[in-house]
Amino acid sequence: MVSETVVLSLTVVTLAAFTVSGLWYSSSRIGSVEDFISARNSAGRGMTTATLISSVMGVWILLTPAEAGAAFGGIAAVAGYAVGESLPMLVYMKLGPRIRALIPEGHSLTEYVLARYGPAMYVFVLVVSLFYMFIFLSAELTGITSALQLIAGVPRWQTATLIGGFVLVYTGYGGLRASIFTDTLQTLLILPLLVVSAVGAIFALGGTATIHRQVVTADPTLLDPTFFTGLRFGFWVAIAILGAELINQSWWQRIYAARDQETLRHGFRTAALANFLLVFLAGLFGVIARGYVDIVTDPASEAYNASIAFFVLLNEAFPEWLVLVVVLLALLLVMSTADTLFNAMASIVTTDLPRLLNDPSDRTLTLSARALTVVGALAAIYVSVRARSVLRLFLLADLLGAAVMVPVLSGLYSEQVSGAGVLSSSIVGLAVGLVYLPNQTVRSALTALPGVGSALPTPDFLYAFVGAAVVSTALTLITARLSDAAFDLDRLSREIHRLDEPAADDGEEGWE
Amino acid sequence: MIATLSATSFAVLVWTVVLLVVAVLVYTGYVIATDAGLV
Repeated sequence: MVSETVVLSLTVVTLAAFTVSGLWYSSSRIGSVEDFISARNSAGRGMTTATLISSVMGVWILLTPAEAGAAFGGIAAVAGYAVGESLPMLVYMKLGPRIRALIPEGHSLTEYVLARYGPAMYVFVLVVSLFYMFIFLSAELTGITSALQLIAGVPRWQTATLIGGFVLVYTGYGGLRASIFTDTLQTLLILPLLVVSAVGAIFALGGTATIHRQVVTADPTLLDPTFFTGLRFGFWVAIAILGAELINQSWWQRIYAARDQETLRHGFRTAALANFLLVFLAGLFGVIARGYVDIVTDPASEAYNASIAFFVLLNEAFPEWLVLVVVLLALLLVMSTADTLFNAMASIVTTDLPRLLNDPSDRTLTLSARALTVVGALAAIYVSVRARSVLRLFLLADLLGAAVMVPVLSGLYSEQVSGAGVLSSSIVGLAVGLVYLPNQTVRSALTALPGVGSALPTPDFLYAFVGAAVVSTALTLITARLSDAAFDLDRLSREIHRLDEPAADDGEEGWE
Repeated sequence: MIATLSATSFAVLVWTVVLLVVAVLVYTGYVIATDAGLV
């Protein structure tokens, strides 16, 4: 175990350096609430690419892909996970330019949903999106606190408070501009640190031939790219990730932050490749861990440790210098995601404030955005200190995303889909997913319903996620076909405006 | 039937992924430097 003092010192120095960078960069760039939550057309190719890579690459890449490799199907599962992480970027390559063209002055997913579908679907998507982002943020802080506790015995509250506090300072002051700037620096450090960690680990473990022998001895299916269990896992996890990322406000913010359409396409294209590679490389360590340390893969066991397979391997087989490199990598990963989510949660609520408050000034909106950043950060820090694992909630949030993704986004292309149609499609899709979801809390709640308990099918993640996505998609198509609604998509640009301009005559045409 | 990767295939796979990450790093760094007018 490395020294607690060394790890804490490294943590504080890293956090302080990025806090100063973020404050310095944003000090002369926050003129209005638009700068704080949108940073419209400000990021060139490099910054757009970098922020798209580092915003999604949280400390989770050292946890869940490795868990997939160790416990859910070896290299086949890791490949599926990597495809799943790059898929949303490819979808946004098409969606992003469409969103910018239809809603040139937009900010958030929820303001689009309100204008396109009306208040009922808006409330549903607002809750789903905030729930997902909050769980993501809490999972990040829980992941890093658990990792530093395992590696160096750092108390969880100290890690959570330090990271949450420092990131809050620069994100609360500099908003999205600070987040994108620090993301750029973080990407330039994350990529080489991951390479150094991987190469250092390969040599520390005796080279690829030795690693191969150790892993095959432990379980030959771990290195079978056609292993059915792994491919099956990869398929459902790809749907889960796609659904979650399509309701993630972070991407909507960056769609508007990019300088132009081509910058946006370029950024998402490069991020798709980078995400695939980074997740694949990180996931390989879960596979490798099985060959070197005792990884318990039975989720029912009290000793289950596949969820921290990478860190178990790190603790037992890596030299101290390499452990410190990984600690630095983990810190950068968690910072880049935390600042993104702090600002995304604040922005999604801030864009709705003009409707709730009576013609608020720009100063009021900026202060509100900062206050919301503080509230979100404090809540996430609290949860991360109290929670042991938020993985179950994460999967529930993913399921919500899988059920709403197609209904919500279909309105960007079709004039026929209606608010009632997409809401009912999402709810039925979600119900199908919940019936199959292997989640003890959900299962207990469903079993308590009269007449439902005995009819419940065997839980299965594949059926849950595929069911939610397919049923909600099919119902969206059917309800659009049956509907006589004809929403004028040009209304979106007429009703959604910048926040630092006087509001026009909004939302008077009624929802269909 | 188990189709386990051979030691050579595994080595090629691992080093290819590592080199591609290096390539993404160099490319992203180059684009950022170009944006900043450094290149």
